[in-house]
Amino acid sequence: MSKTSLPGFDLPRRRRWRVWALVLCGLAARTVAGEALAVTNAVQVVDVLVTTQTCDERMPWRLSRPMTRQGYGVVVGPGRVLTTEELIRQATLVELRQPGRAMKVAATLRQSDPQCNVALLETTDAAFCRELAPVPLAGQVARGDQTRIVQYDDSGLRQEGTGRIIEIGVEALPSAPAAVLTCRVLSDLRVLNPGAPVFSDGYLAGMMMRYDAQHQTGFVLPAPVLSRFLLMAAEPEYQAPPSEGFSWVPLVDAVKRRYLGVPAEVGGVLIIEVATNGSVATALQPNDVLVAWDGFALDNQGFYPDPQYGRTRLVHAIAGRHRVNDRVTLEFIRRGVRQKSAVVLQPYQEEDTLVPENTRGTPPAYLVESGLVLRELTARYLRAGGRGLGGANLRLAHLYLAGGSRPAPAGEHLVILSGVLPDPANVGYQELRDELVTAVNGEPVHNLAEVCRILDRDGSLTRLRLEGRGVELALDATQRASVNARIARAYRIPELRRCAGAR
Amino acid sequence: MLGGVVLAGVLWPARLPAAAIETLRASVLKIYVTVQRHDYLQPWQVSPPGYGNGSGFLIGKRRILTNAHVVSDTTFIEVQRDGDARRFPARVAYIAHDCDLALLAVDDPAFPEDARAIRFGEDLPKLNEEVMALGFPMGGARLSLTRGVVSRIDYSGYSHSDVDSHLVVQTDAAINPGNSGGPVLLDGRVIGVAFQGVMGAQNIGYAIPLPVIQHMLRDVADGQYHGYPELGVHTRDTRNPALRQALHLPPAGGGAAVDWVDPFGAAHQRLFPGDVLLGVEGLAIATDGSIALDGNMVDFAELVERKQWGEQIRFEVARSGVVQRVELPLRNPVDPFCYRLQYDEPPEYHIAAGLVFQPVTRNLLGAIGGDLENRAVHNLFYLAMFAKMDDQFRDRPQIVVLANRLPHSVNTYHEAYRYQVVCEANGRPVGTLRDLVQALQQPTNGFHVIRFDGSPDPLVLDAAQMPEADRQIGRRYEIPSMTRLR
Repeated sequence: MSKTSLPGFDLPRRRRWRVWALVLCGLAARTVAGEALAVTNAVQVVDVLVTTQTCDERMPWRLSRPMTRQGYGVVVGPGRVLTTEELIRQATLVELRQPGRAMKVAATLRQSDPQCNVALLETTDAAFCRELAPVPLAGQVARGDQTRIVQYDDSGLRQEGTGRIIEIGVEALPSAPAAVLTCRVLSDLRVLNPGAPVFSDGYLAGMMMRYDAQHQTGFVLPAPVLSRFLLMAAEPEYQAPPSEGFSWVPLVDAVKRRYLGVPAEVGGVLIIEVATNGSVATALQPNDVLVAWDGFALDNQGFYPDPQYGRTRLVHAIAGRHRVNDRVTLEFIRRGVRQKSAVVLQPYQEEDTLVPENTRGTPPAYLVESGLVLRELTARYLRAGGRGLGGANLRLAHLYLAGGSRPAPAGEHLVILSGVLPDPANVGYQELRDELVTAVNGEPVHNLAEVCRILDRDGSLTRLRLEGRGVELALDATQRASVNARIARAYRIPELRRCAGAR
Repeated sequence: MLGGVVLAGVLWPARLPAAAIETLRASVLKIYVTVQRHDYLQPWQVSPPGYGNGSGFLIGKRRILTNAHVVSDTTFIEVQRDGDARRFPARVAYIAHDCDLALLAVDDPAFPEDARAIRFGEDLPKLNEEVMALGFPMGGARLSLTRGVVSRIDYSGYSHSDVDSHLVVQTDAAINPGNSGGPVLLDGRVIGVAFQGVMGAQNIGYAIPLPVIQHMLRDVADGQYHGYPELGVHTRDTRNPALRQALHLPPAGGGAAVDWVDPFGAAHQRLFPGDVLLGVEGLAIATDGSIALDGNMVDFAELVERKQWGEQIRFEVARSGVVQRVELPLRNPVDPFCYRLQYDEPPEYHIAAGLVFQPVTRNLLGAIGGDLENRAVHNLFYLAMFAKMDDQFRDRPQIVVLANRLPHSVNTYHEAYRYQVVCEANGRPVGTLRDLVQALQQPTNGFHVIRFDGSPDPLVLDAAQMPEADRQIGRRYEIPSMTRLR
């Protein structure tokens, strides 16, 4: 295992030193290339104690009861601790504790990225930091590497287990609709909490997200993903990995290849959809056959020969080897003619989709008017019932599944009538829930901000048109103020609107 | 004429002596059935024979009323009187799946003549009136008699079709599997047919009441069952003062606003969204759509229910502030998007290159299962519920889906298309399964190209490989015919 090489993408030398400096701060004297690090008594792993409150998706002014969860963090710099994003998601308080100690210190979130499930915490407590010893990150990981996994029991005693990396590949994250480079580690240590470090020769080879006790397998974010995150976190503005901006299917079927005029020996995958504002919008079209990306030939299942990891999925060549605004070349076959083009990689912004995921669980914007609760549709809202999409309104879930996750024209989202808070002002409407709002006061609406603008302009919402319903809902403008005040009191709503906030 | 049959019978005394019970025993029959259901994932075959039993009762000479669900998908039916070892073959004379009733006929002249028809009551029973249920429920072989009271009269769903709703009589008389089709009696007269219960609840059993029974019997009087006509409107309560003002209605008063009109309903092009229904057949409609009928407040749909196919119904309608009379005939075209469970009819299908195409039916959805995280499956359930409301039905009398794949080298890479809805084949739009069959007779440049809703990724087949592949698949999977169309 090389200890000095950087994560699996080519960076300018200046950037390399920046991330190196961040990662190795406080431990530079021991990071000698190719040399195993001694196990120290210094604190490298801490407990991360998180208090969370989730937002009630149906009554978004309400927060759930505080819950606590616990995981591990790895010290990567002075006062800086790396953990999983899933652990600190929707946190109202994050605290750090040295294993076996009672004292806790508050930590702040410096950066997090649900697309790679990593978060960087920071504490300024001098006494706490004094005993921390940052862990250097391994440059690469390889199949077959022997590792040590560390966790602590309730009494603070260190538990160690050995593990072997049995697989490196690109897999979907359990916590977000994203795929990143991950590895699986076969280990007999039953890991109880997320964030447990995976060491290799004293270097941080990865961070465990999940452990499958039945198969004794850990699901690990490898060091290259962590390094890349730290590199981006050191930038003045964090930049998420670039997005491909297209969807594709394997092109294995010889009959289909003949139909498309693509010789069997050239490999390639079939492009079926191209996002209008994505990375390849100007280059690719549906039914093109993408045969090479960034100089790497693609096979007919979408794998390319990665110099570090061997046969790897295309998504890593896009998001794992490049940054936003990088220029890459691609080759494709269109109507039997091989062509070449260059594209500039763009980021993935889930807010740009018609039905955003709201992976982070950001409290949604809402408007309560005469007891009608209006908000924008998100995938988190659809899944809030606890039974996945199976518990969601069929029509709304269809809008999400049939293209809602694709980029939409700027600012376009779906406004829904989530429910009705019963009041004399809304008799006759009280059974309505999960209705798509298409127009208010006679004007089509494309997001909640537009609804709020119309409300501010007209002074009231008097008419709402719902998808598939021939009778508009009518509200009494003259009673608006008193009705809203009554509803706010009765239902204990601190604010009847949160229009300007993030979704 | 069945009307005469219905009227025939014996008037039982109000209080039933033991002798009367003995006479009733001769009129209530145990129905033995052999059932073979259609396999909607392998639609060329049926399930192994299953055996069951239900109840029924004589309403005329060798005429037995029972539930449709007792005798649906049957290959053989026998009836037997309590205490009589003989069984007599019976056949379905009429079956009404939309109200879960069936009329059986026994052709064997040896059927005992002493069994008399049980007379129907005059009207709906009243709450708290004591009723008894007769039948052959689980737990024994002989006739069972249970007592209870009428605990509710309501409008409720009929689970046999899974989509229809009609009046029901709820009773706490024990009604268990096997009671289905048996009579529920008040003072010796039939006031309902036991048909369903609520699993997990205590003493909630339902009977099909007289208005529904009489509707069915009158319907078949001309020798054919037409079924309930569907008005096809959804209404909105207008009691909201702001809504009343917007609809130009006086602050006090009734009227239900038409929110949606079913394109396959009888009201299509007769009533329109925004109309306010003020009255029906001279009865005032309240803001919530209810009317006062026979001393009860019931949904105005009940009045539609009591009409027969082809009869007229008259509404008083406020349209754009002007009150007018609208009369419409209660008949509607066959609705391909009414996903009523289907019985007794083998499903349509077409197999090409081992790909099994079928029109979407409620039965097929049930066979596929409800994995709503699967985008294609979710789309099918969405279409089943919203195809008409969201205007997804035009030029598409059927929704044709790739329902299954019979593995063969010709379709190795086509699993990903499973459950997707076909929209085009070889450049031709596919609105029915027949369209698909015809389109697949004309390949384009040696290929069959099938396209699916919402997906730019076509399924491509080599036309030259198909005949031999179809022969092999037919042999391998023992398929008697690659196509079944109606």
